[in-house]
Amino acid sequence: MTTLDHQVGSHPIPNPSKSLITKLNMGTGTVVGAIFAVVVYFWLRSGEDMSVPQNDNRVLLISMFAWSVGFLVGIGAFIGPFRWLIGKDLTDEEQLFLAGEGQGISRYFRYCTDHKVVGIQYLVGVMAMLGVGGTLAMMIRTNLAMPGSKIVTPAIYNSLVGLHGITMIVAMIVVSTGPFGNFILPIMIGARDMAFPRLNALSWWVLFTAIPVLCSAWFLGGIPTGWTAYAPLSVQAGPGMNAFVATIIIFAVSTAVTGANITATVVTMRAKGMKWNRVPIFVIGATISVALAIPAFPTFMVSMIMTALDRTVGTTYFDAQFGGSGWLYAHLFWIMGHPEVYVILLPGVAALMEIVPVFVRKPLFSYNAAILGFSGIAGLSVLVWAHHMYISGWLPMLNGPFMITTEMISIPTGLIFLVILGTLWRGKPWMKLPMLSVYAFLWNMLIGGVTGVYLSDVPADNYLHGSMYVTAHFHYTLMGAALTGAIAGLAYWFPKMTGRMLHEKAGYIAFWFVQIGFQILFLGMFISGAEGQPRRVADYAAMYKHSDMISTVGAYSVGIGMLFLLWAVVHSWRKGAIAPMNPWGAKTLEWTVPFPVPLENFDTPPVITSDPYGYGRNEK
Amino acid sequence: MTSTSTAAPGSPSTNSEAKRNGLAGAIAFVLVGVLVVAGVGFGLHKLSADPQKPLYATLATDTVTVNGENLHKASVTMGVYPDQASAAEHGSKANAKDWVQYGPSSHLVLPQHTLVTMTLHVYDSGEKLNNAFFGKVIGTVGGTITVDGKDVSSVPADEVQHTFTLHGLPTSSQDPLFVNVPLLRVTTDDKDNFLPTKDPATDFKGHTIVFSFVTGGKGEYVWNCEYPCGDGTYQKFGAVMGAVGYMTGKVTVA
Repeated sequence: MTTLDHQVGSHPIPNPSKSLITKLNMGTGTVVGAIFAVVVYFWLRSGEDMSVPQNDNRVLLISMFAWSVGFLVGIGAFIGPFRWLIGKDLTDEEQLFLAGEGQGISRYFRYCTDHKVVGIQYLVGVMAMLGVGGTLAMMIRTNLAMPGSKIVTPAIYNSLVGLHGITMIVAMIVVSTGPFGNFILPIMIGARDMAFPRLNALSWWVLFTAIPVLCSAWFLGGIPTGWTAYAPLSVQAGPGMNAFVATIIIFAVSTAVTGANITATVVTMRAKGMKWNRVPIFVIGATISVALAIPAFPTFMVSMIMTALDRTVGTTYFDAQFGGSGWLYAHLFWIMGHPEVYVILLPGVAALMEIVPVFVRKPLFSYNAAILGFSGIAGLSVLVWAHHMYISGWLPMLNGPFMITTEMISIPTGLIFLVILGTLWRGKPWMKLPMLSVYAFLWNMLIGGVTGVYLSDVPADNYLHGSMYVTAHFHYTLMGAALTGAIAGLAYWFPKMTGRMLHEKAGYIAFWFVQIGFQILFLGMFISGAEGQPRRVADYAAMYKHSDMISTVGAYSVGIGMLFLLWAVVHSWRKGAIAPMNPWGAKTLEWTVPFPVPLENFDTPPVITSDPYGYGRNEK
Repeated sequence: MTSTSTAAPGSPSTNSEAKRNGLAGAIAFVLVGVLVVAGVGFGLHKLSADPQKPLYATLATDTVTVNGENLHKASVTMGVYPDQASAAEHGSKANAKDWVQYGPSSHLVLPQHTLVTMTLHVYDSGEKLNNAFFGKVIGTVGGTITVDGKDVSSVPADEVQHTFTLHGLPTSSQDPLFVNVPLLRVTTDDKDNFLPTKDPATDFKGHTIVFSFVTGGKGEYVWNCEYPCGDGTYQKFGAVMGAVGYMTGKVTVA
């Protein structure tokens, strides 16, 4: 086997042997986090009447945050700031150690500031989350295969739906910006690293601490509210809900840090000559996405803090009996919830737009229209949240404006479509795995988009709301479009991230299993939904049995396809064909650096003299 | 852009190593993955298993005519128990929490096309039904129940302790079955003297409620209490109200 040794570097391996940072890693973080959680748990519960739900919730919730803080202390996240505060900032050698220089595989288990390490950490973490969420989806579909199914109880089914939803949402939010936004994006703009490398590491490890917290929900009675966690259900739910609340608050901190970091990096650290009209389109899409998350996610965090206060100290933000309002929660949730759809979608679409010119060997058709499309989607997305509340009983006259803004969002979305179609027009596509995903995206997003127009329409939504039609619609947009884009991005950038080519045959098998299975799974769901099958319900009337059986078969096909993809990734990473520096003949900067990518990416800072899509044109 | 070192498109380097590992490994990997997912499914299914033994109705040999139809007779006796210890005393072993519960089992198995006479021994106090509809007796023979030997057709909303509400699932074309029986509360909880096996006229401090209904063909049904008696969550519809084995269960007509 040809070695792609991560340990080989041109610099001497730093060895600040007396420094505490050399002794800290994921293991010490886990131990310290567990100690924090256990100590806080037993300290707080002493003297408390734990049969009172508020006391129980308070102790559990604070213990979960204690785990998160303890883990970060144990992995060394606060050593840098602390040393700076006491006037003994990290030495150069310690800084190099923190950047993972010369540490091989172990750096992936440390608090490492190298953006490429953080990108790989995100990639593995996202794949694990998608694996868990996908497994839960298989359980859901198995239970729905036949009416009157007795695979799981309704209570367990509710928890499956809730955990599947929140796991997938969290995974999908970071599925593109996590791995590619961290690993690829800084190189694409010619930067040596992210603007705030320590915050970059912090964003990943903060998110990591949320994973066991979310998993603990299983042992605390589950999440019975679905991923929307509507109040007052979430206020009254059992102890498993504390895990949901803590997860969202921790996750919101992580996304805020990531959003600020990526935005600052793109604004301030672009290479010389990289004017805004020379910035690769993936960078534009990812930056708009994370910038959109900066105002959106804090509202979700606030809603969860209020839920936590209602659950733990008896405030009544969402209890109408004492002057609170359930609508307040719904607004706060959806002010995040709908921009979040685009936070998920934009980077995936941008990755596909990065791929199309490369594989068609044509310039991106109307770069400005693409930016207008992204900007239009981002701008309008903060004005559409209440279309989720048409039938909530709020002021009906306000439905009209939200219907209009929601329907208007199809205009910038159409621009994105036109840019991709224009780039494909009369081109001779090189039909490799990343390119196949572009066509899958066009089909899936077309269906997801058109069906969304009906849901944005008030009269139609009155009928379709809460049905399987909605489930099919948002899976077409989030999975059929955004996840397809992310998988295309993985196939495209895999050679740069791992130094190896993705196993092509397994990739094709995975693609067709997933895409055909996806249509079988969700197309019929539009019909059963339109005929009245409710979503989020463990059982259904016999009239839907054929539709649901077909959907379950489709789900199994998707599952098999995803397993093929997982094998392709794992196998190729270990034993795949060695990738050349630029296997696709692309013109963006990440393909100008070798593998392993040097610590500071470029030996000499690049200078940009043209746009990144000059295929078929004479180089300037 | 700066000049890039590019290989010709379509010519990623290959080596024999990559070719050596064909798709056999992939298929094996997928099979293992399927087994793992199936294992999770079996685990959850096992968690979902009803830990209680079913309570079978006792079939009598004689028959009775109801609405012109000649039916077999069967009987079943249940109680509402104040806690785990009292329930266990009367044969309920599955439940782990000190919640009020029906017993000895929440899974009833009844014969089809049969007149079932059900006896419920109850001890609990109560507050008030949210929905007065469930204070009415529905679906029993004659539209009445007997409470300590007296016929009644409804119980005032503020005098109900629990309800036994039996209804169908929306899953198939099985015969419809809907029975609602409100259980008259006692003035104060009397669980210390709760002896459902004794004669209510002398020792028993609770109530004995008897009613009959006719089962249809084979089918799966559920029963639950419609009086919100939970621990405060979900406006008292949480905890015990939603937990199978306590205030909800199933009925199999076989």
